[in-house]
This record gives sequence, structure tokens and C-alpha cells, in this order.
Amino acid sequence: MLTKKNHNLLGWALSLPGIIFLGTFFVFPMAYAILISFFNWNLLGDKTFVGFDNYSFLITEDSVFKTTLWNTLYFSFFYLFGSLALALGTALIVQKPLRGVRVIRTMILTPLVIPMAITGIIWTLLYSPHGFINALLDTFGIQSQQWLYDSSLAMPAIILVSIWQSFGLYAIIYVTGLQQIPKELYEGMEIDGANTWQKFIHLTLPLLRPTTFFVVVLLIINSFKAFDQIWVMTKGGPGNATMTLVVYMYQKIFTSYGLATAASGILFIIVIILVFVQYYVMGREEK
Amino acid sequence: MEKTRSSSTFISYLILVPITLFAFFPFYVMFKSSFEPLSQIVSGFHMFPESWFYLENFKEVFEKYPISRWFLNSFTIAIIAVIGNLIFCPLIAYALARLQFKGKNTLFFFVIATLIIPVQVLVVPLYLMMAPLGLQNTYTAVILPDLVSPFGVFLLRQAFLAIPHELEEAAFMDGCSRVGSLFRIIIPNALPTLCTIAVLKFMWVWGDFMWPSLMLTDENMKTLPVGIASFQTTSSLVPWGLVISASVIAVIPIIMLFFMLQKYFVKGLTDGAVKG
Repeated sequence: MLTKKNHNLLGWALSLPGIIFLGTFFVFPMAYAILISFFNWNLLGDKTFVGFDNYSFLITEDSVFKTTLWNTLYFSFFYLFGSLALALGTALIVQKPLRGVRVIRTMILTPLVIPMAITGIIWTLLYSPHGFINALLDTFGIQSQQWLYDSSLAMPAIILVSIWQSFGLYAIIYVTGLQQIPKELYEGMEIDGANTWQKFIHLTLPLLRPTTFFVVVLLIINSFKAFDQIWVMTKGGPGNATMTLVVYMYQKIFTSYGLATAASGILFIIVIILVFVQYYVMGREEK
Repeated sequence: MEKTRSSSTFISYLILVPITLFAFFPFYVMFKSSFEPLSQIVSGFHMFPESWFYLENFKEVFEKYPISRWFLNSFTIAIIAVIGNLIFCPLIAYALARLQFKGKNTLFFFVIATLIIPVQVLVVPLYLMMAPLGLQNTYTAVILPDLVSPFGVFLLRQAFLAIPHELEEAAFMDGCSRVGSLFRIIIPNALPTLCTIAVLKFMWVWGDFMWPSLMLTDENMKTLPVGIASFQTTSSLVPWGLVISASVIAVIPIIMLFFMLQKYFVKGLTDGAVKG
């Protein structure tokens, strides 16, 4: 009975502090950002309305922005497939009841909890000319590289760091997915004489599809947000080799608010589309 | 049968070793390098430091940089953000989970909408809002946007929905009010979720970089990640001994917290991943 009663006053009173905060620090700035993206607004404070000029400048004229979009796709693609392969491979093993896997599950999650800027610093040391990576290559007789100063190696180097940071999370999500597959299905296939590989291809992978789809959408969303490690390790360089959408936006804060917010507007549109794809897929899965 | 099982176990460990090393070895390199003089760090990679008791890097970094101040800044900002979330999130989450009121669905949509806004998009407008108010180099500027997180509201609403109605009904029979029931019945029953929100929020704010780096430029107001990142890591002459020992100081509290409260971290990270 009680739960059916209306609590208009109490409901809004309890929600009020939350509404004020979320409104002031999320919704209003979002609207404000959209507004600013239609203005030519430099640091001296001159504001003129320019319509879609900022967007059209970024998309058609600014060659750096084109590089930026290309880099963001490059980063996303390899970050996605690298993480997916490593996370699934790890999950297939750490879901087994082996001695010590609980500790290992904790260890692979540890990179996720430390500040991303510090992650960037640790790996800058690993990649330095006198660092571990070059020493490792040296034992295989491969020549030392200037990882973060080489425009063709800097992006792969940053992708590896990003995979390192988060593959544990995706592996744990996969473990949850794997544990939901009924054991009887495997036993049935074993009776039919299927080997490990056949079980993986014909049973595990198809049944993991919802998990995979979910992990993929998460990976794409996260890849578009990457900033801290790139800023600490290369600041978008050398040249513009590691300049991604968010790094570009951050740099533009110091020259043009209009272009910075237009860049963030483009980021927002991409993320929103991906979030809707995620909700759509999740919703379908729950049915 | 026995044989295939033991050989597959062997292969599993054979694959697990490199994966575990990949995940954990960078931490070891950081840790051991903090005990090495700069000359040794830049002379090439050594598996072990010459002495595990070489503490000059730590001494020097404390002398040259206000590390303890940065630590205090990071800690204060993170703790206040955690407290803010623990106070405000349950109120709105309770209204959304347990009360019937006009506009509730709109309000829920509003929370979901804030949940999917990427924070990177908010940095420029927040900067333009706060700079004219003279909030640069204040705790206030960094803490305000972190006081209520949509993620916390969402997670708590789910937890509140899962608490059986009978618990509350019994309390109402005894004359307990709605607000009384929130504090005496609902919150005590959702403690694990509150812990999850607390540890995740602490971790995120402790590691937050983009927004604080924009607002905190005064040497004494920086948080640990902002301060350490300002050590010029992209130049060719990096003071590695200082950078790495400062990094160890920034990482140790959060790793200790993680090992102690693992269960909440793992639950939160996987739930958080699901919810964006």
C-alpha cells in the first residue's frame, strides 16, 4: 500500500542536491560547449558568431585535424584487436580452477587502478634508450629504437601501454561470460569426440558473442577518450604522430575555445552513437 | 586422462607466466629504479639495483619538490569527493528507486543523460565557467564537478531496487518515516555498494589528470599526477631518479587500497564498465 503513495515533495527534495550538481557540472557545461562551438572565441575574449564555421574548418580545411582523426582510428583499431585477443586469451586460462589464478586475476587488474599519468611515466622509462624494452630487444639481437621519438614507432608504443593498462578488465569481463556457459554443453561435445579447438570454435566463441560485442563497444568508447598516457609520453608528437582527438582538443584550449569545443562536439557525437549501439545491444541481449 | 590434464595444466601455466610478467613487470621496474642513482638508470637496464637501501632519490625529491604537499592535495581532494558522493548519491538514488513522484521518469532520464557525457567534452566549458570566478588553483575547482557522480547514483539505485520491500514495510508499521527508513533500513543494506562507490571514486579522483592539470598550475596546489607530469618527461634529460621515486609515492597508497579492498574494486570495475 505504502509504496503506491505519491511523494512529490519528498521525491524532489531528496533529489534536489543531486539535480543541482549534475545540472551545474554536467548538463549546463555540455550545453555551453555546444554554444561556444558556434563562436569564434580567442583568448583575448573577442567573440563572434560564426555558425558551423568551426566544424567545417576542422573537417575540410585543417590538415592537422585530418591527421588527428586518422590517428584516432589507427589507435582504436589496434588497441581494439590487441586488447580483444589478449583479454580473451587470458580469460580462457584464468577461468580454469588452477592453483594461483585468483592471485593472477588480481595482478592483471593492478595496472587499471594506478593513475594513467603515472602509467605514462613508467612506460616512458621502459621505452627510454637505456630502458627495459631496448635491453630485451638487444638480447634477441635487435637494434635499439628511439621509441617515443620515432614517428612510426610512437603510436604502436602508446597502443601497447593502453592495452597493458586495461586488458585485465576485459579479461575479467570475459571470465564472467565464460562462467555462464553451461558445462553440460562441453560434455555433450566431448561425447561426440570434439577436440579443444573444435569446442572453442563451435561452442565457446558463438556463446560468447554478446560478451564480445559488449567488450568491443567499451573498447571503442574508451579508445576515443584516451588522453593522459599520450599527453605524458609524447604530447601528441613527434610531429603529430600521436595526436588524437582529445589531445587535439586539449591543445586547442590554449588557442581557440571555438575550435576546442567543436572538436569536443565531434568527440561527443561519436561517443553518443557508440553508447546507443551499446544500449541497443545490451537491451537485445537482456531479452 | 590424468596425463592430458596435467599437460594442459602445464601449457596453461606456460602461457600465464608471460601474461603475468607483462602485467606486473613494469611495476617492478618502477620500484627497483627508485633505488638506483640516475647514473645507473641511464647506463642501461639492470635487473637489480646496486643497493636496495639507496634512498637518495626519495630524499632529493622531497627536498626539491613539495611532494608531501601534493600528497596532501591529492588526498584532501579525493576524500572530499568521496564524502560528497556518499552524502548526495543515496538521497537521489532513494527517490529514484523507492518513491513515486511526478517527473520521476524524466529525472531518471536526466541522470542517464549525464552518465553518458564524456568528461573530456566538459573540460573547456568548465574552465570557462570557473576561471572568471577566480577558482584556478583552488581545491574547490577540482572537487566541485566530482561531488556527485552519475555513476554513483546509478549504481546505488540498482542496489536499492534489489532490497526487499518487506524490510521497509515492517519499519513503516512501527511508525518509521521515509527518511528514517532510508538511513535505518536502506543504507545499512546497501553498504557494499557504498564501499564500491567510495573506493572507485577515490581511485578515479586520485588518478585524475586532465581537469586538475588545467586548473592547478601553482606549484603548491598540484595533485600528485599533475605535479609528477610537470617534471619534463618528454625532454631528453629526464631526472629519472626523482620522477620515478615520486611515482612510487603516488602509486603505493592506491595499490595498497586495491589489495586490501579488492572485492569492491573488482565489483565496481566490472559494474562500472557495464554502465559506462
